[in-house]
Amino acid sequence: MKSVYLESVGIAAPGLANWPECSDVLRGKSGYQAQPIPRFVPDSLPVNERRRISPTIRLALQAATEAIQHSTLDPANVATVFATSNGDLEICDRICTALTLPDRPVSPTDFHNSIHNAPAGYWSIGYHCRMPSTSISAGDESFTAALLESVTQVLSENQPIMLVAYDQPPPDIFSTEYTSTIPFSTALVFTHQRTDHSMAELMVVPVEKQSPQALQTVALENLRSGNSVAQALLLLEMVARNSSAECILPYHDSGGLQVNYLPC
Amino acid sequence: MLEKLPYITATTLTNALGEGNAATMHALRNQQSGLRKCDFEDTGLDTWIGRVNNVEQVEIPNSLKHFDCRNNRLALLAINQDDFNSEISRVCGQYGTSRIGLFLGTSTSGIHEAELAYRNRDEESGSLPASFDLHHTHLIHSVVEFIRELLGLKGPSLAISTACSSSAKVFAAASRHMHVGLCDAAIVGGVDSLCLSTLYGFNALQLISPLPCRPWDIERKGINIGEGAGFALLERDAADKTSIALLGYGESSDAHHIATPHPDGKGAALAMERALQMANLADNVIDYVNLHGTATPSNDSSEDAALRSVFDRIPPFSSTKGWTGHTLGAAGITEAIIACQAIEHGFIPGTINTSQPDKQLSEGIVLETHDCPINTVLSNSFGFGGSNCSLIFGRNEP
Repeated sequence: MKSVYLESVGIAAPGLANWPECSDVLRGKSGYQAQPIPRFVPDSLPVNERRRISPTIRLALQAATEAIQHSTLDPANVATVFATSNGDLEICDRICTALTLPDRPVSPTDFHNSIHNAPAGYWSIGYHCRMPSTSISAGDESFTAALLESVTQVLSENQPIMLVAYDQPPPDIFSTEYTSTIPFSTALVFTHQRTDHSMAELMVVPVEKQSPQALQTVALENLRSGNSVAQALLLLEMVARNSSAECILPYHDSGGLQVNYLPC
Repeated sequence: MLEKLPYITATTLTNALGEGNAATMHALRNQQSGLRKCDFEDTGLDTWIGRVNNVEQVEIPNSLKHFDCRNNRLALLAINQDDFNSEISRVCGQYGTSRIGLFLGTSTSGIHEAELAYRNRDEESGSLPASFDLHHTHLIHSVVEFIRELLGLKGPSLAISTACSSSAKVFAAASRHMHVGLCDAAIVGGVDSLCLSTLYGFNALQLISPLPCRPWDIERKGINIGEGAGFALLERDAADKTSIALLGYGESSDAHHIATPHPDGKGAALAMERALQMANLADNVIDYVNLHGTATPSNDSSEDAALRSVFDRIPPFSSTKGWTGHTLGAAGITEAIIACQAIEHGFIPGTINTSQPDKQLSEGIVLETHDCPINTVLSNSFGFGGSNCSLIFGRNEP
């Protein structure tokens, strides 16, 4: 497969409030402390819509907003891929609870926000973006599958794309069942041609092996294992260190997705 | 842009009209709707639904019991029809299991399992019963993992969940994965099953109809929720070059409202235009448009505005939602397969239940199923979140 070019990155996770901060931690320039994620106000949305969004939608939009701000692209021209292992379990909890009550009073706002593509919908409204948008899930491999989907779109449609991967810890009722215990979201903008702003050239190759991968930034290993889409940190660490490198993201039982990284 | 799109070499469809493609064909040709008064569990809602008989009796194989839920039972019921399994065996032998992709759409997956679990919470602790398996039933990816393990597939796979466009967009995702060389064949499809969340959720939004739905009718009052599952096998090459192929896809976002389509149908028009551009047909000749046609006042008027802006002369069009109900995450695959059937057997399905077409909307809706040669079909699927997808099917070498 051909290469794609990484244009910009955004992140929102405990102690990694934005990409410059995250990059410093991943380069070993500063230590890691798991501070709460600073509150994000999605200014792009009309006030009415802003009031309606859930913490999960907010988490997704936070990383996406940062990534688009670090790029030189017009967000109205960037297609999107949103990925989460399941989206909004908090809303699901409220809907399922309502369904046990007399008359089953499901909130209309909860219902329309419960769609897997709610963050994508709010993103498109906020940035007047009529470009294609796909919302996917591949369980604990959602980031890897989303990266493949994004690369196939860039290479097939010759258009820039933003990958947004996010997972919010679920309400307590689901907690024993669920991989993600720490909030995490990241966004990466890719283009099909090198631009003045390109950070790196990336090539992805599915491989039939799965070598155990660990971050060099040991302090972030808890975060990586505490959120199903935080496998992205393996890739983000290469971006922060910015030298030729490769990593293998977990993908399917016995395979992986190798990502070759070349600085621009 | 992709120059060559895949052939559709096998399909299978199950919905309220019955199990397998022939059941849908038979009903469409004999004016038999699959809708019934809502009898799903203890719902007291005044509406009609498209329910699949026998889902409750489906047995999930012992080794996959952890996947047991209504959605996966429906998936299993559907994939066992039309000899689809033997086509899968053929491609597994021909290309190898790691070269076959799996791309399935669903909007609510197995959420009904969670709904049932919430009724049986522990009285003291409030916890869900230990038997509830969130990962393998409720999560969006469940049906993909289930089918993947059932068939022993090892190629790229993912679930697309963009509300009612989910299982149309799988055709685009699969085509791109094939285009860049990640797979030689792909199984695409969609599965959505009845649950309380959608029935009461659409009810809360005042979008469900107390009568059988009437797309394009002056009296249209909303949707009837249906359930359904369908699968299509896509291959880069087909032994028979006159096989039906995907000729184009177009995707777009409304960028307007999370639960209401753009009144001017701008996003919908963009999806159709992108599909037409990709199909590159002489004079943009489409023989039949299968509408999204949900029968909500706003969908039908928005879709009409989009059709008017795309076509100088709108081709014959109809909505099949009155037959199957709105199968939500399975609507894209349901209508894609109906489109392929229309081409293969030469007919245009009618719009059952509709008797007084709304004069505010474009004329020409096909009300009764009739035979005529069909070479190209445009199928529309639009969803909440403003997610639009249009697909064009036809023969590469008619």
